[in-house]
Amino acid sequence: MATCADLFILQVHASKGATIMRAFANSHFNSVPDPIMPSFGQYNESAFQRLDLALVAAAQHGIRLILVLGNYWPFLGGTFLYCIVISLKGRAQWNPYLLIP
Amino acid sequence: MLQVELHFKPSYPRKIRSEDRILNFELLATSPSNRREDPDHCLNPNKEPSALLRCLPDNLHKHLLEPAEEETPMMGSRVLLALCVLAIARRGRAQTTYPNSSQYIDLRFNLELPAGQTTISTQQGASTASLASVLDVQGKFVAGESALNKGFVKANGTQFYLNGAPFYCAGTNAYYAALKYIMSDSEVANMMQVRQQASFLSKCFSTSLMN
Repeated sequence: MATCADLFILQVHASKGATIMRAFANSHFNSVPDPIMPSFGQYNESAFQRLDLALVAAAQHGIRLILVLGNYWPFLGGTFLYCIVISLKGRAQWNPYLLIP
Repeated sequence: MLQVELHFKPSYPRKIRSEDRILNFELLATSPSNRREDPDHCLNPNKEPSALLRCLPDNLHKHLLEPAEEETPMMGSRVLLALCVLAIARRGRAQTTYPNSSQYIDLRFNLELPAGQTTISTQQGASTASLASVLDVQGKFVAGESALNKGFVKANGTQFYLNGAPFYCAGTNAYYAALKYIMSDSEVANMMQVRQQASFLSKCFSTSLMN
């Protein structure tokens, strides 16, 4: 049963379009062609410029962005690739392929 | 066809730590003599690598080929064979770089066109300056300051507040907004514009809901 508050929120949603959007602000190693962090401690200016673009485009239309800074899935190289790159050294027995869901 | 079978051996004949137990698998490559005849395998550099290989860093084979610290003779030959196969597969991968990103998923977007516009011209901006010209916000964009969004949404109890007023959020996921190889600059601008506009259907929905 929807309350009055729910109806109000739905009305705002429907009448105003999007007010927020969620975008990934992380991409590591070689998970994408133009990653934000190609290797540990190294950052890619052109990828940040693209992030600027998304921020400006959202701001121009009054949309707030939820920027995702981490990720537990291998997609875009989050915690998963962190663990692989850090812990693989000297551990040839560990087969990381099987950890990928 | 090269078949890679993954065998899980819980009773591994090596001294392993408890946290390693679930991570130790044995990788066996079967029928290696036939692998060159397979045009569909990822050893062919022109083919798309498998989903698993795609997620891994390029220098992975270097890590894998480093001699193990605690390797025992019992596991040596098989594991080395598997590692060689993996290394060959890694070297054979097509190292495509942006914008030739054929190895990545090709996403399609069905964006509504703005009124009076029949086509979307896409343009790949090289910098924030070119972005500003694309978005026609030249003169408004100041480095270090968000163009039109003032303030930061904060939570107070169960309510979001923006600049002292309650903030109601409505939105969707657009993880690809900051990924160059998926959307062009003007596609991002167009997407934000379309998402911000209320569609005809949603207006009808809103009216009927409140009545």
